[in-house]
Amino acid sequence: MTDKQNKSIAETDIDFEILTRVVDEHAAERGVPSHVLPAKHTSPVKAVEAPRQRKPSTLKVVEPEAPLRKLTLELPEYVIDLLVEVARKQKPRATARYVVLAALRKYGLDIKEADITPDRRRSA
Amino acid sequence: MDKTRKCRLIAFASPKGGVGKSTSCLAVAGALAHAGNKVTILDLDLNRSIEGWRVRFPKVAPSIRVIGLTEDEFLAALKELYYTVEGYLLIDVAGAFSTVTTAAATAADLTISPAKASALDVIEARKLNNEIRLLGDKINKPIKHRLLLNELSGIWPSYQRAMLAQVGKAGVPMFKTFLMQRAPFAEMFLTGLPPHYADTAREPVRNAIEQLDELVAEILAELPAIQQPAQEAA
Repeated sequence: MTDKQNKSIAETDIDFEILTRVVDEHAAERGVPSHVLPAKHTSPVKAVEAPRQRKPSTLKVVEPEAPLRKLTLELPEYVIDLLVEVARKQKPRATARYVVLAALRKYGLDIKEADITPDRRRSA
Repeated sequence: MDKTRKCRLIAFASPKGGVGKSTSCLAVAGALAHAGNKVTILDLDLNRSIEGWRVRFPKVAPSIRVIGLTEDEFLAALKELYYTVEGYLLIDVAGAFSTVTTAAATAADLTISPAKASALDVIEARKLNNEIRLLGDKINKPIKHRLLLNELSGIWPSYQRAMLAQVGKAGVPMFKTFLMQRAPFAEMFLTGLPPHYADTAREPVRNAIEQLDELVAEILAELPAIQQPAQEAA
């Protein structure tokens, strides 16, 4: 049994006049919104407006990407170097993966836009 | 008016909606009523779920009285009921951060903030905790605020385990008892039966009752003792 339980319940009673006043003052001080307009003649505190809703994000809505599967290829070293070089020269800078997917799309493969992000690390 | 308080006040409050306030409030009310206590619930929820329950199922747990209130009626009603109601006075506060939420949570002998295994639920409970501690200091009242984790998954997925590991750091004391995701809790507003009034031949009902009994024991340990009127004590 805690010390609190040994106290009379009366010792934990609330003075509602004080509670109302303190809650109103606290609301004004801390910006706690009041859904109820306090009566003009009883409370010196005006109702506080609810915080304005944040503006919706302006981030572009991106289609969900298709599930990924790994493909391991062995290519001549100079081809990989060329691939990296082409990716680096893209504006904005892109990944080698992007160059490969863009080339495959030019080749005629039906690759969705959402799956050829220039730099997936910055797509979020 | 006799200014001897005969009730213990418990608020189910969180600035966030959908955390399980009405469900846990009615489940706890059912447990208290089943044990022979008088229970009054003040329903401030905008959906008035508990008041609707009382209207639809008047024969279930008749010792639970429900009073639906608007926010502007709340403090005046509480002031009156505080000294007239016997047993347990439970408040199901609307899921919004407002002066009514802070007032109810500050006035209560114990404020319970239900939370699911969601960071947002815990963050909002912590926000309420900060505010009512400030208010408690201003009116020189110790605040008892406890987080009640509910609707937890029985398969303990990794996100839930990670979440629980973080909850302790949020600074809001937590009940040791969790309410798991169980059919008897989900069914309450459909069948009208809080777990203690449901069919105990069903194992999920027995499990829900067991958890609720553990929770109620924890709740009662946090509440001040009711003082018997002098003439009865003599």
